[in-house]
Amino acid sequence: MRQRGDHLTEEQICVCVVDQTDLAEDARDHLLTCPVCRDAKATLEFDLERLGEMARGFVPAPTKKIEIPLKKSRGFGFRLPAFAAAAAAVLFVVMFWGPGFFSDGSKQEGTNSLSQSDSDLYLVEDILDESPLPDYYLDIAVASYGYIDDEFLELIAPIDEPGDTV
Amino acid sequence: LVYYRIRSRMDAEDLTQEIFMEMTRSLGNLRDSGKFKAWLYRISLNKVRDFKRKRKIVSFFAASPETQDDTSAVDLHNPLDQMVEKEFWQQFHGLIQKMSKKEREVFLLRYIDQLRIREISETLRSSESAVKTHLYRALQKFKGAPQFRHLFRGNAI
Repeated sequence: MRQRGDHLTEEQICVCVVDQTDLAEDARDHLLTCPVCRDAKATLEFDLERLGEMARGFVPAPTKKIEIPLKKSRGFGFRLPAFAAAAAAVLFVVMFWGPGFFSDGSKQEGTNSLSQSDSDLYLVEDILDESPLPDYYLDIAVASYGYIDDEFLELIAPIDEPGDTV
Repeated sequence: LVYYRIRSRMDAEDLTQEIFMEMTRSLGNLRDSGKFKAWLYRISLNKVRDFKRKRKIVSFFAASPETQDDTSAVDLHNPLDQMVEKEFWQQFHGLIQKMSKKEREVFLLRYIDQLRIREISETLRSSESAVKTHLYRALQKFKGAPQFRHLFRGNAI
């Protein structure tokens, strides 16, 4: 029988911190009425709680990501990320390369450049057609000999036509 | 869980990765989903045990001390915090080294990992009364280290 003034032993305090139901009935009754023993129990509980808090708080943060390998499955759920990735890739191509491939902008630009080169070519052709040689070369060219006309050529090489000989 | 036991951040991260891989591999063997926590802790403790065993063998042949890094969890620019943290871990490991293997295990699981008595008994596959007995003894050793208790009581705000 516990007498008044007899406090719980250190061992009993430890027991009641672990599991109060393991204490003998008279010790439990004493704990309910004795502020000294309740304080001792509360102090030990506080210390243990503080110990846990500090230990958890002083654990360094992880620097790398923990990767859990996924099992291969045939379900749609497994394919969903692949579909999403493919859709994202297509979207990326459309956004960055799309105008070049899908709009008429580049085609128009190509046509414009083609017609420009064509017109340049035609211009050169016209110039050559009108004056095939530069003036410098015209003196030695046949076209520059003005006296060689049709009459002269007829004299040099007459053309015998059937109607002339009677 | 892992870091308190092996005291190396890099190894703790690698080991945690292994634990989760083992978990995904063996998930089919878990019969009662209500015991998932205890089951995961058991895997973790087994991995830690294996790691310690390997490290002991390696350190025996390499004749080098056990690796511990000084990675800090607190602001690296605050030397006071660093000092408190270093002092804490020294005292912490000094304290748990005074306990027997079983006492240490139940003490860490109960007060650091915050498992219930029933969960600890499931994790360690021992009876609840055995767990309690180890806890009483561990607490008596904890109470017998007042300098350690002053360390964190002084930091309590």
